[in-house]
Amino acid sequence: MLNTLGLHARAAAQVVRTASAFQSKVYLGNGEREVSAKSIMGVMMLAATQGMTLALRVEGADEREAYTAMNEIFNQRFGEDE
Amino acid sequence: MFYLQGAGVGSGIAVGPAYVIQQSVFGAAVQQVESDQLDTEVARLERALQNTSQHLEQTRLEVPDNAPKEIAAFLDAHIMMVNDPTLREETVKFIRESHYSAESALAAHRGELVEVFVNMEDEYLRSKKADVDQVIQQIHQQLLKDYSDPDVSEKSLDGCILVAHDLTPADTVQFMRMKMNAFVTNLGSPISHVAILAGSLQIPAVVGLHGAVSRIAHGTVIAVDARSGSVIVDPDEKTLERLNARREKYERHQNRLLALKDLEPVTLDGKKTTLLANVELPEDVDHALNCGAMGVGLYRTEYLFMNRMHQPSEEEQFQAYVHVVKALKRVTIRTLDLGADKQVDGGRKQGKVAINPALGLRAVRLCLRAVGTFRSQLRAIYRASAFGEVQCMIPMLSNLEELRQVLTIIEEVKQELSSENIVYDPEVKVGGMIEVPAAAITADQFAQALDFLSVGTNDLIQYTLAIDRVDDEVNYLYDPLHCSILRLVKNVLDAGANYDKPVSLCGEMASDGRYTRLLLGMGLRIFSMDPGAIPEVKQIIRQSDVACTVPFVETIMASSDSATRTGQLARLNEHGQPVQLQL
Repeated sequence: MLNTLGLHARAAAQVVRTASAFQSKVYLGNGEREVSAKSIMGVMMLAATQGMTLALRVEGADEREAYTAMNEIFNQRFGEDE
Repeated sequence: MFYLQGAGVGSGIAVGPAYVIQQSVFGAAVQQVESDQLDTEVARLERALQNTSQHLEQTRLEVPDNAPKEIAAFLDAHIMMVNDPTLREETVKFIRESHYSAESALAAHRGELVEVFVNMEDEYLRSKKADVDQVIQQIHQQLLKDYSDPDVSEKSLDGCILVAHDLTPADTVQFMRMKMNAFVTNLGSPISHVAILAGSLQIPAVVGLHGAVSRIAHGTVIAVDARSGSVIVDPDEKTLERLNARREKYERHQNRLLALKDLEPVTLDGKKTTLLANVELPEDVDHALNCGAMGVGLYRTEYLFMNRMHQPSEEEQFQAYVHVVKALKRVTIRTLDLGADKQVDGGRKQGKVAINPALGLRAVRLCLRAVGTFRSQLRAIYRASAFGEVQCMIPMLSNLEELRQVLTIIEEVKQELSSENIVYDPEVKVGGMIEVPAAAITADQFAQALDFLSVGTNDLIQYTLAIDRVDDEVNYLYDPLHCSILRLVKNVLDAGANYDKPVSLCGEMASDGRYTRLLLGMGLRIFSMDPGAIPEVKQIIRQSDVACTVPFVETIMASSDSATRTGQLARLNEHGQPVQLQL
């Protein structure tokens, strides 16, 4: 997690929108729990804050594309402003 | 008479009869159903989810124009939560496996969710429990409608103080229309959305007052004080008098600011200045007008392009620009400043993330690459120029060749519009943001090639001092008083003066009252800032004498010692008035 605010509501919504665009199952894990990245509640429950490492698991027909897209939004810090 | 204490949010003091709303709260005993009822319960849940989603979607469409922009964002988040597949699956599991009624299953799943949230370490994330609760509450209300139709009164709340367990974003849209005077809620914290709401509506509210609903009787007179966070229930004569006196004092203060609104921003020695607003969303327009902005000095257009998959059409952009131009008459529209920290969702496919986005393909560089997008924005800007005084401003200029390309494209767009018989103002002024050190150093060349210049201090400071303001490790180095910055700003102001081209300053330095006199003394006359800062800056300008600031400014500019500069600035702000100058 690179962005300062962590996975706040808007960022979580972006994660869900991105994941939901793919057929594959997309999961995010914080070591303690693994949730569907297509569930807003699930993503918020990860309580991901800056500096935390999340595990991404993708499974399905378009897994490569999904993997790339998910990586990108995290690396771009959800287009967060200053 | 008794006192209750919570967290005060919003502003002001209100006195009026309490309007208490009773909402369903969880905690009822678990209800189990027979095996043959399970399908019915699942169907009830599905229907409730669907109705809640529809209700929220409908409310989303009805958000009034004057509502704070956050409300729509909160509603969007709630809509997404109601449609969350996991929420549905987990609740259905409780019905199927534990034979719970739909209500009990929902309460049970809520319990699971809430437990995770309350144990979170991060305060901000923990506060999101409130959203989970509100969404589930709304689904629960829908389920209850199967038994009775709770009468949602559309009465006017004029003069009343709303007392509720909690207010959902959907509730607030409804209550805004009913003109509530103030509100008190059991739940909520100073960082919750109800607090943001009170701030935007500029009404007093007290949140996090546990037990408010049960301890305040419907119809009792109560007083709400935003500053102290106290609620006085059934105040006696004397207390009422005292409260009214304080309310009047507060209103006088507000009126003083308001009175300032129509006063000229002119210095004691008669130098006229222009105070403009920086705006972004269409909603900012009213705020800018209320604060006495004389126009818009920086209209950021990025928001039109962000958080969406497709670019806005020329028509959509045109409509947005005309809205601002009609309201504020004189508007400087900045062309797209995307890239760096502002990425578009739709831009995901445009390739790799730059290694150093602040120095990468952004703003005008990106526009010259995506010429189609640039042209459609320019067309929209020029079309809007038929409705008021429009200026066009190019961000991130660093060399004149780039600028010439832009000017060529602008000429082509103008010819195109003429040949299509579309009305526009052929005299639209074209200016540049001076935010790259290269442009600040060669400001004389840019002043000759452009109609006006605007100093963007935020980026200029970043680029000049080579520090990322967002980076906690180095942002202590961010210093608007650094000699290099003062010299660059002065250089731009002088270039403007030499070639008779107006220079404005639209970075945060313009909003910060500490720098107002310094900038005046350096020669700045056009300030563009966050609308809320206008009254304060205007007050300082009206109490300044430019001639008296000059010796201070000269000392500050000449000093190589940062402590001296800071000290002199403080003296300028304290003593830089005519009477005290005989030192």
